[in-house]
Amino acid sequence: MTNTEQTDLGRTKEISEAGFEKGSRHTGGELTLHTQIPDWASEPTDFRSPALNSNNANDNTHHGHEHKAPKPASAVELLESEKKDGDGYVDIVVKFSEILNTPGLLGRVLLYADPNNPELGYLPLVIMPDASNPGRSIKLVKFDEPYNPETGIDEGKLLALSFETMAKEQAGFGVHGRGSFEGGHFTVAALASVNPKTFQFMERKRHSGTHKIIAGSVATDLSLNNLLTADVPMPSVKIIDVTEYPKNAAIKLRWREDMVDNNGVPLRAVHPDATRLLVGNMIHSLGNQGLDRVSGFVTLASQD
Amino acid sequence: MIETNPEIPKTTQNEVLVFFDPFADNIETSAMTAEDCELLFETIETMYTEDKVKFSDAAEKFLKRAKAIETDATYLGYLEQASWIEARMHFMCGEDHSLNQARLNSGLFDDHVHVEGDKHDDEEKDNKKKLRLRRTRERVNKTAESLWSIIFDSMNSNKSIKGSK
Repeated sequence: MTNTEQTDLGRTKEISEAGFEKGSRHTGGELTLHTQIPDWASEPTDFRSPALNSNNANDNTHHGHEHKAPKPASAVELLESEKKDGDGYVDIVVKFSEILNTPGLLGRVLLYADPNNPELGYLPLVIMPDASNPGRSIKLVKFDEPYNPETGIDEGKLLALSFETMAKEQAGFGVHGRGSFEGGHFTVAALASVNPKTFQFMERKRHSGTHKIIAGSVATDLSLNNLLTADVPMPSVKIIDVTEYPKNAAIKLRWREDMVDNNGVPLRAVHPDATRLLVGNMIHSLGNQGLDRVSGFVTLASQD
Repeated sequence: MIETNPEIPKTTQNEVLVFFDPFADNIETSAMTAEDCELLFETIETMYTEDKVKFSDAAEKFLKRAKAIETDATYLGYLEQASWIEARMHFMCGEDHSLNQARLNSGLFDDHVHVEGDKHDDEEKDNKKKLRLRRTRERVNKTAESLWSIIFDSMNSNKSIKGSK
């Protein structure tokens, strides 16, 4: 059944009545997006535990908090920092070839030291799998706001890192239905409405194109296409093919003991509000004109 | 060279690891020794102790603003408009909401999840099927036409033969 109706904004809408009911029921003044913690980020391993470097896998307490016993992580090569000043830093050394198979590493908030800019301090970093080249490539998500040893990783930094990790199919972004706003599909439609290349890609690949675009980096795409306000704290993303590095190539990162949540579990970049705030910012910055463009794209696509 | 530590797994004890900056444009020129890494960490520690690291709380401020915007009337207007568009997209992708609502009301089914390969992709398959069918029909029609023309021709030629007799 198709209706024509005037909205509060004085716009004429043609849509299936049930579709609109669903839309208003699920937004109802609040944007609700389906979100889940990606599988690859679901096992926080406590690097502090001696279980990692020995067979003592049953030691599951730390600082009075009970943890899930960490899995033995033979692939992780940890060098306990000397802790000269009892500064709480732990060095994390992982070979490039073993990054994807290292339990507890992906999704975990770590600290990166930029050899060219040590004055930046330690920068929060997250490693995640690259869905567009599975098994070979990884994404390094870095946020250029220095880690503050006094305050630790605040919620804002966690949110910034999560724009990339959570705007992914594995995190529920782009998944249909589930009684929520389909943020992934709407985001891709918004991109196609302003970017001719995305438009042509969608025209060629049609519906499956959406999922391919989400496998890339929609948060960065939104920023590059000026679909976000300038104040959105965007992380920088680098994709590397781990097979291009020598066999003995490794990465050395750091982690600090205060980088844990309220339950003492090591922080992961899986902020539950990341996609909602990202899509919300996009909708806000699209405004009336931008939303009309998205609507125009949807109309064109439906006429194909 | 990594110092020997009884707790470090064998792989590091038998192998000299080379450290790379994953953000470097050139892999080869970014190689560092373990000592280089230690020196880098020490330099950064010094930067912190000498207050040379400039902190920012821009992300934290954004988070607060973003949450505040969610109750803004203009934003809610845009959101309503966006929900219209999203609902259209949902419907366009082959989703029958009336049917789904009926299913939900019946209490027999959970909320739906439809996956890749729905209406859009099916449409392409349908179009190909329709094209094949149309071509087959055209071929059949042409064959039929040519058959009829042969029959008519032979009938006409028979008539003229009879007439000549």
